Amino acid sequence: MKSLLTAALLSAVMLATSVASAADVVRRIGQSDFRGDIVSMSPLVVGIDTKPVREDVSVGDIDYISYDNEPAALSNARDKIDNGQYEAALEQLGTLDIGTISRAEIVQDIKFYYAKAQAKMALSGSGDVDVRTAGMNMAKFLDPKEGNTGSYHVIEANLLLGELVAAGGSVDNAKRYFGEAAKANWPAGKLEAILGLAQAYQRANQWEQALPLYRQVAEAAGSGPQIERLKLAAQLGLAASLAGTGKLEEGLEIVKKVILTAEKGDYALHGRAYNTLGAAYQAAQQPKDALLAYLHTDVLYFQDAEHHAESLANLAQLWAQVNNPQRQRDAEARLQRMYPKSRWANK
Amino acid sequence: MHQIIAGSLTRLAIQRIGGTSLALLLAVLLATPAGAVEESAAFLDALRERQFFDYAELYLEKAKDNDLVDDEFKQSIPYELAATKVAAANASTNQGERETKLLEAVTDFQAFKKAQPEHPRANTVDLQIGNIYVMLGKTRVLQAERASDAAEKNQFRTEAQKFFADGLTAINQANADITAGLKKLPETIPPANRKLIQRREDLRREYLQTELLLAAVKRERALAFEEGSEEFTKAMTEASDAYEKLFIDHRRRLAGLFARLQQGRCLLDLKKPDDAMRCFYELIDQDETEEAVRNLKAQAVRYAMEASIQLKEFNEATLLADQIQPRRGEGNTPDFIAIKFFKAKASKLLADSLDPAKNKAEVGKLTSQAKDLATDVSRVQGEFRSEAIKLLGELGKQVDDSPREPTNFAEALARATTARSGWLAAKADAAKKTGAEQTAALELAEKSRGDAFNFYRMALTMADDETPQGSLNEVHYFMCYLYWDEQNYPNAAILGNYLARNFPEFSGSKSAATIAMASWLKMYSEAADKTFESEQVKEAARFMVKQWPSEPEAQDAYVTLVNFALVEGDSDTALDYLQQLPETSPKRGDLAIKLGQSLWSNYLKEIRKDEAAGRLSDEELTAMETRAREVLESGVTRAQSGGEVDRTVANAVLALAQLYADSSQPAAAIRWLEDDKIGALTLVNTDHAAAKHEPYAEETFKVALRSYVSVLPELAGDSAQAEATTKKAEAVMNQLDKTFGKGDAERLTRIYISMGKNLEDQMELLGGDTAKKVALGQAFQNFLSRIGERAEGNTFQSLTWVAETFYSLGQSFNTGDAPSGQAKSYFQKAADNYERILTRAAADSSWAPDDKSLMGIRMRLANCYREMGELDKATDSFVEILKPKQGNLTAQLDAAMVLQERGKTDPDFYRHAIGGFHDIPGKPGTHYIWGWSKIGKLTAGNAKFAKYFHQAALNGIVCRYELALTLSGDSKRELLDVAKRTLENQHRRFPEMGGDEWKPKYDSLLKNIQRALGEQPAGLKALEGNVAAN
Repeated sequence: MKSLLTAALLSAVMLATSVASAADVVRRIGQSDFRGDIVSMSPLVVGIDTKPVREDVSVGDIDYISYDNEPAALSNARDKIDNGQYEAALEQLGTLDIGTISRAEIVQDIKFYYAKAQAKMALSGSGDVDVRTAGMNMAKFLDPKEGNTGSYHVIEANLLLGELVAAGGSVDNAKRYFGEAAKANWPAGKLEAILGLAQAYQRANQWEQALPLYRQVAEAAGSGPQIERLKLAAQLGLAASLAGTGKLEEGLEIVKKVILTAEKGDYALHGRAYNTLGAAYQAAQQPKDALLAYLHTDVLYFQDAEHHAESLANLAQLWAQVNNPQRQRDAEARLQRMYPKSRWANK
Repeated sequence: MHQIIAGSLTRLAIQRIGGTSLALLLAVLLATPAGAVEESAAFLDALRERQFFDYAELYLEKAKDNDLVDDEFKQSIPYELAATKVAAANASTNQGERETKLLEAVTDFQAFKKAQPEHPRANTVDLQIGNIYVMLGKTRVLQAERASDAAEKNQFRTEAQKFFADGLTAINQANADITAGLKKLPETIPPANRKLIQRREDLRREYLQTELLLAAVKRERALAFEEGSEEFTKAMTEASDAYEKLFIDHRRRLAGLFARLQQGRCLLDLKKPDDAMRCFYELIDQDETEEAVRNLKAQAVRYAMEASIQLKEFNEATLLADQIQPRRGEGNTPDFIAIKFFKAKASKLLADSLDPAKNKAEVGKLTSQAKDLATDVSRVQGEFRSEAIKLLGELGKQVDDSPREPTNFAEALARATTARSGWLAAKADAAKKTGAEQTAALELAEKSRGDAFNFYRMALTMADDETPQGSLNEVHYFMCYLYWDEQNYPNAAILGNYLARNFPEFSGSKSAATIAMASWLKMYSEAADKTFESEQVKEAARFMVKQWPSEPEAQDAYVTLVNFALVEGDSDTALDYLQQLPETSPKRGDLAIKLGQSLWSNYLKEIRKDEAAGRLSDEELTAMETRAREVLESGVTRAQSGGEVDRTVANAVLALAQLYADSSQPAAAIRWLEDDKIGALTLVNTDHAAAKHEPYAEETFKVALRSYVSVLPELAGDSAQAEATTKKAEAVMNQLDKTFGKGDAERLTRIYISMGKNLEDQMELLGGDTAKKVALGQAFQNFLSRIGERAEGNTFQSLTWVAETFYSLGQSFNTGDAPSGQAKSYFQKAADNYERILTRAAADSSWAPDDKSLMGIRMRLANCYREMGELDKATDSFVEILKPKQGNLTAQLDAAMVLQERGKTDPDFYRHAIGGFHDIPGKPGTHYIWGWSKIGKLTAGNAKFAKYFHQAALNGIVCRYELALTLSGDSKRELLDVAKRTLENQHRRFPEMGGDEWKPKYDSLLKNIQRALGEQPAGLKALEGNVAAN
């Protein structure tokens, strides 16, 4: 019995040592990890020497990379961002002193995750950062002088910067960054960039420009969870744009299909879908139907901050329209309390 | 929904049954069936939870055609709608609204079960209905407890009984359905058929639960009777028996023990403490390991102590308290507080029963124990606090019972609510009392109102971010109501307005809006300058009709808006609001009548306008007339449909008869006069209560007489009918004489004179329809001649009417400068009758009512001469009239006008018209007829005589102008200059120039003078420029 216990402890120690010595790890989406030494990195491909085989991994397949001997605060921050805890992530990153870190990839990661956490907070309005500040930080990350041009985060950084610039009201500038993001050589990456631009047009009520882009994504070839998610989002955008151009019925049909096919528990998609439904009814001057749609997001699918803030902003406006000032004030107060920095709160 | 129902039953259980076990059972019983919670259900629940009942109902309405909603949910929509009404009712603070919604929900639930008997929720419908009835029954019991009047108390109790009986019927039905479900199951179920076994278990459980519920409702029903009454005993015995049966059938189950406890309570209520004790001991002997059993045991101890005290077994009562000890945190729970209280009470009673001389130590110990326990109880808010304080008093320890100052919002609100209840009770009390007792009750009401105010204000200062908005609204609402009661209308209006606009979905907001509107109306009625208040009233009313267009409160708002529009002469707006008023509104009839009358009045004003004054086209006038008639008739029809003939219907019918008579449709007028049920004449003749107000009979007779005579031309081919109608007219005349001739002869004269004026108006409305006018005139002539010449029955008044009517007919045909033959003929007939009156009065001094009446006749006669162009006779007549008294202004005005008219043939009379005529002997320079100049001087500066002043001033200048035109050369110019200067002077002194009535006349005259002088005929405009320049 004693020898068995000793053996187990020994093997655990050996395993730990072996992991620690495995150096860098490339976590892939839905596939097994690669462990070894990162030997090359570009915005499109990351090379890892898994000894004896060298693997070139498309950035589109990468969930994230953890580096040999990376600071614990970096991996913590990465987890926090993944869980939507952006402030906590910033706190973690704030403890790091870049000057003491010699490995360039780790420094790039710290800078990127810092800018990403700020971008996410600014876009959802959940923190003390506005889109302009967040945009400047992200632009700094992409500035060639900063030495990050080879980071595998460049595509994502452009995508986020596009969203930030669009949220700031400049679709033309956003177009440039989405264009950079569209240089991704994996299907989902390209589609995400097109979708981002379409959403930027939609946000600016430029329905006619948004429509073909949404169609392009919605009708794109390819499958897989990532692409399916993008297609559903594109269908919702398409629906909203159709409603915006007066084709309400056509738009409604699409939204309803999305709602019926969305998986239960996919709160973000439901939230987006019901907001789209609300927007369509609003465009058709049907305030009561719009209220019912946005109320779905407010009472059932409030987990996604951006969508919830959007629903609250629209509810406030609609309650005022149907002459219900108390509910209007309640929606406004919740919007200000929960998402004070949201673009919806400052509309 | 199920949460709400279960919640209310939980409250029922806690308040009356006193334990949580039944509450839990009921919650399970009404729980939503497993698996039924889809997204739609969750959304609906969330909307109800937020009290968005309006949008919950909207969602359900739309869900019927919503592709996103599954069929299963769609089938339950009627059920959910009913459940939403129950939820809304429970959230409402408005008692009436709450009850209406609950009863609607009952109907909806019943309809659902009937339409879908196989629906999984159909089984719970009767339980829901039962629950609603029990809630309503309990409300009535509370109302009965609060009522101070015995009859009212009994009424509430009777209604409570009805609700409980209905509740029992519904729950029995649920029970029967469950029994039927059990019977449908096979007698033996194979162990492998787990689904069916589960079904059987469910049904058995549900059966037991409904049985428990039935017994509980029976006890509630018994408590609604007066304690100790025969009904109370019977009903409580029934509840006790029901619990006993449950105990016997399920003695090994928790439900059986629960039933035993409740049976004991029933027996205690029946004053059978021995029997009750047996029940309680069965629970006291139970092992208390199981929590549920321990709870029952604690209750059993409590009630057993109460029973022991009833049995005067005080020692036993104190010992019972030791049968269960409170665990940590249980000491202040209601059951353990009760145990503590009864132990204190029993200790005191036991001490009292001992001889203090022999048992000093024991008495001291018991008394001390009683004091300690009672002190503990007195420190906890609850059922026994006040009794504990009383007990302490009996034990010689005084406790300050005055409630402590509130320390938070909830406490302040509770105190305010208590004070408000006291205010209401004192007000009700005051209404029933008189003299000093009433004064005392009113003083108490005022004090309570003041207290309520103070605590509401205190509550507001203690509110924080956590205070629910609904509670704040409640505070504001009651403050608004109290302000209204205090007649502090500005504050009531402001608060009511605040609530209504900011929290329109708050259940009290509709009443608050009504108070705001009523407050502004009060301020409006009291304001000197009503502009601001008028706008506020309208604004408040407009808000109400916009916010709650179909609610009963909005109807008052519509009524207000229509009335204000009518006051402002804006018939179009009034009609617009009337049309928005819901078809079913009982106010619609009254308003339509009012509006119809207003429209008709507008029409009459319009048709009397000169074309030059911008009269509407014939088509527009016809449309006005039609609209007035249609609105009025719709109002009468609607008011009539109520079945009862009230004052409003009576007034409207008379208005319609007048309308038809005025528009020369006498046959239609007669229909409205003679209708068997609502005819105005029928109502007067049958002495109907709706027709007793002044001047209903007078106006009815007037329009009847006019209509009967006016219809005669239409009966030309039917002599029998014509004769019958003539007789009807005579009969009406006789009725007039009979009704008004006795005590008030002057009034009867006035009535007759006004009838003549009515006829003149009627003729005027005929416009250019000469044939009709002639025929109508002929009809009146025939009738008047018949009356005038009859040998018997004529009075001063009837002959006056004959003369006046001839005069009016003459006026109707008097359209040109010179009287037409027709007009002259009528004036002659009028003069004949006036002379006949004067001759008869001269022969019999008692025949005429008084000299004043005869003076009127003389003036009329003089005017007849004038109308016939016999101006010298007219002048003489006026001189005779004025000889005894020159201060008769009417006569002076008419006389001056006669002189002015004589100027046309003899220009010297223009001078007389200005300066006076017929010297008064012995008073040089004075005249019996003053002329315009003196009339102007005597009436100047007196607002009351402004009209006569301008009449005199204007005609004085007219005379100068007309006289100038008869001259030539310098004399002419000189006189024209005088006329012009006089008018300019008039303008300088009175820039308003008499307003709309006189200004256009001055303007026209000045233009004529300017033309005659060869100047630009600019009229008053030139002078206004001068005034502005000055």
